Amino acid sequence: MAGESPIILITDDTKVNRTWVKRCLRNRGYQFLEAVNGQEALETVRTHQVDLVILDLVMPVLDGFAFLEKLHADPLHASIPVIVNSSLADLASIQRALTLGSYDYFVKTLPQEYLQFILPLKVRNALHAKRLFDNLCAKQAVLEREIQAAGRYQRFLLPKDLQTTGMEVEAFFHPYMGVGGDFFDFIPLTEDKTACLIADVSGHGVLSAMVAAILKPLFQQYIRDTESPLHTLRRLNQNFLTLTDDAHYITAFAGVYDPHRYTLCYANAGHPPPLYLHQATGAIEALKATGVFLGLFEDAEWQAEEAVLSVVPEDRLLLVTDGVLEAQSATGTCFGTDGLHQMWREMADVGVEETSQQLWQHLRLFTGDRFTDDVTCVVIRFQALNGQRKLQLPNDLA
Amino acid sequence: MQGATAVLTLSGPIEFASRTTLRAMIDDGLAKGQQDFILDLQGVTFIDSSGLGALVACFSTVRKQGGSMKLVRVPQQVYSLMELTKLTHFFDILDSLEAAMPRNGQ
Repeated sequence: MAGESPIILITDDTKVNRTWVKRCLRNRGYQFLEAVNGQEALETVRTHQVDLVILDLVMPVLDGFAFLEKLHADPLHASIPVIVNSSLADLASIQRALTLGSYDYFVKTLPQEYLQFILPLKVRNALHAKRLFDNLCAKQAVLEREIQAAGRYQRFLLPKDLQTTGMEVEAFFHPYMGVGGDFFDFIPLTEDKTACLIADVSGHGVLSAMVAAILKPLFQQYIRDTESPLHTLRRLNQNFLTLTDDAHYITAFAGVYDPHRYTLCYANAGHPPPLYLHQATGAIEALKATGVFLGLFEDAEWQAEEAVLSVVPEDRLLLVTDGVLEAQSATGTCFGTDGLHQMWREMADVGVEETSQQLWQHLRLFTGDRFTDDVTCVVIRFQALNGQRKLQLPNDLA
Repeated sequence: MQGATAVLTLSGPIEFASRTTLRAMIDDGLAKGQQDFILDLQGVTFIDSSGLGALVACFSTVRKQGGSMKLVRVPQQVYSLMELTKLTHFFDILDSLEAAMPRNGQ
């Protein structure tokens, strides 16, 4: 509502009726506008600030029913409450006017002394509802602007330069609510090694995004300190144990790739298994969880192991968050592990960038562009260093 | 009812939309002084990561209050997801309600 004084549009083809309504509502700080048919009322609503419409149903040019239909088809003005005031007292008309979205209804045939009491009450309630609705919209708009801004900051946290030694990387991150609880990062370590992390904070929205934002500096520090995925996840578990409540937890896959030894050392805390594709055989190896979620179990209980994968150049790794696996089609089918395995196998010969794009397009098609969770996907192709293909690797981590 | 074992029967999908129902059931039980919970999952048709998270969160809350939470008749899909996320180590998973009930005299 613009000012202190609400503006009421009285729509009636009879002057006597308009005057009478005004008299009922006088001395209450309202301002009045008048219209003689639905068409004029629509024009007034579009050109003036109007907080409430009192509407006659039987009018020439455009009647009250048609006005209601057109008003509610106009998203800018659909929230203006309408109180229908008509001589039509039959139930069918009342029902029709209410189905068309009118806020309230009264009939002209009611005794005048009754209306003088009831009409101001109806008007006050309708204006109150409008004020609450407007306040809510204003707050929602502020919130949405903040979430959009937060979304920009969150994108800023994701790595832009995915150039790493011995790996070609492409990724996408699509938050469900402007900001999200998914996160991934690549950090260069000593001797050309690269650390990678993909994580998913339970839930989505601002709280999850805050936790995801905290992950970046912590991961960077811990992985540089230890160069160990397991010890990094253990420290993160300790942090999140004190930070998150019982209802929040984090799944995370952390790895350190050594491009000279062709080894990927990893630990997986309850995260959907990344899929390693052996180019030679087309077989897919799932890098299953080696430990449980982060943030719920005490250090003494949080058990996990580190595993080492021997990498062959040209083989690929696909990391996703559960938003991919649990993406649902219109009929309620999940994209699922099988769906992902199949897609991943089919794209064995497609370039990394194109694979990433196609995966996203495929998901959009599958869900009809309706997502219920954040969706993140990282595609990695391992490369031979100095053009040398090493097929069997020394495993001096053993 | 102080200290009594509560048997909660869950049915349908446990997912993002229904996770709060589970939470409410546990909170309600705790408010009534119940500490030990047996969750019968036979009727659960599907669980996703949000549902699993809710289950773990409830487990964590119950344990912090000195109670226990056992799962009985866990459907294959639920078990697979728990196995995949290494959670089978944490829960007491039993085949039948009888096996989960405290024995007389205890």
